[in-house]
Amino acid sequence: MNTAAWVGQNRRPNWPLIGFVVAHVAIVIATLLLIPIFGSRLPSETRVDESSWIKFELASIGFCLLFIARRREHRMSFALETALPFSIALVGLGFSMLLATVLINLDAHAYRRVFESGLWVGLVAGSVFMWLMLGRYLGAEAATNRLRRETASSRRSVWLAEVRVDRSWRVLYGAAWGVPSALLILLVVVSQPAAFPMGLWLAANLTLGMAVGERASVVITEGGVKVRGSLLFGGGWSLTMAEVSSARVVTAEPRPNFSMSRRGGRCVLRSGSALEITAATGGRYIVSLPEAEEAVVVLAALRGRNAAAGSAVLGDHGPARLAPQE
Amino acid sequence: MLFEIDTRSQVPIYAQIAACVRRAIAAGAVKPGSKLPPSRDLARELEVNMHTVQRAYGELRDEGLLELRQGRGAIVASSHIESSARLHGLLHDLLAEADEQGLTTAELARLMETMR
Repeated sequence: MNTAAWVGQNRRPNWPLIGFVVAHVAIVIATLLLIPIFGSRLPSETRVDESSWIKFELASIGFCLLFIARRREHRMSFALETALPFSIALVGLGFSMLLATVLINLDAHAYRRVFESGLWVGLVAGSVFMWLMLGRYLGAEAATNRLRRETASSRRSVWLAEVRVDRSWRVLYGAAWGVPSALLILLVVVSQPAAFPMGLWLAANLTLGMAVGERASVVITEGGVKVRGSLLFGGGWSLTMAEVSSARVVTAEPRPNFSMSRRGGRCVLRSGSALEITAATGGRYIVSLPEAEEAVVVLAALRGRNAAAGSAVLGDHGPARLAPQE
Repeated sequence: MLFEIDTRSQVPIYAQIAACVRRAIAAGAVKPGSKLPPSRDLARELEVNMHTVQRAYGELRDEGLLELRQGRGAIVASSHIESSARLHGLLHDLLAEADEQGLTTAELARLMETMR
């Protein structure tokens, strides 16, 4: 089980978990050290920034731990694949903002704020994207390790599909995130004209997000099912074959969430056909999938093959109830 | 799309991967213009070397079934694709059968010539 720093029957180290812990601790320590190291060359106002961003980082970690604690099932996979990738981006944002503040004010006569410079806001946005990618990479590694085939079979099967957003996702994204964010940006820019570069960046990112949209990959192997969103808006989840109780085809609509629910998982990027898997714990996991019927058949076949091989992967969850449904 | 390989098979893994794509195209399960999974992702999931997948994709490109574009990955070609995939699949099966029976390519060619 993937429940601690050591995983599996042969006690492999859980590298993604160790990576997340090391990255979080390193970022917080680096944030704490920045001002003491460069303090003598900085205006006194930067101390306020230091305090604010450290509080922001600790609050982000706190919220992440809260979301993990309230999770009812598959807590460790939820932590590694959903919560920690999100929190590392937030903690990284705090560090990047403070680092940018230090660099922009190094030996400066007057204090300058990062959000007043388009270039620095862009650099911070780039670094946050880098933190997101680090979280996404570690999350994907965690899912891959979790679903690694435990049966020593020479036969390997992989079913892959990719899902892209449709108009319904864009409309929802625009209504749920775009409109409130646009109003907030407008409010900030009107009250603090100096924040115009930051407002411009945020608006550009929102527009780009809506235009490009999200996409997700769905992978079914003998090990289980893995869904990964390319960004975090679609969420992602994974289930081992032992955790799968039943699967069916359903019709689903996108909803504005970050997969931070207490049970189950959603990665619904378009209206229409979706694969719904009920876990042995009762949670419902849904992913948009035009080829959902084919996925159900493949899932049943691979589960049947595992059962025939007498694999321990299946566990004691009873016979598969996998059939396409209207 | 389903990829299935057997690591203990006599058939090289790249050829098994290529055969999966051929079958899917011939059956109409993969439409012209659709994108195949990136070689890195497929290699990771199949637990094989990335170059093995790239070799399979390269073979399919040489057969005219795929277009490999820099930065866009492997895309199923658009013209006469299903019949071409079926024919290539049959030829591969024929060559494998000839190998098993100890026939050389020249002997196989002669045999085909006499049947014409």
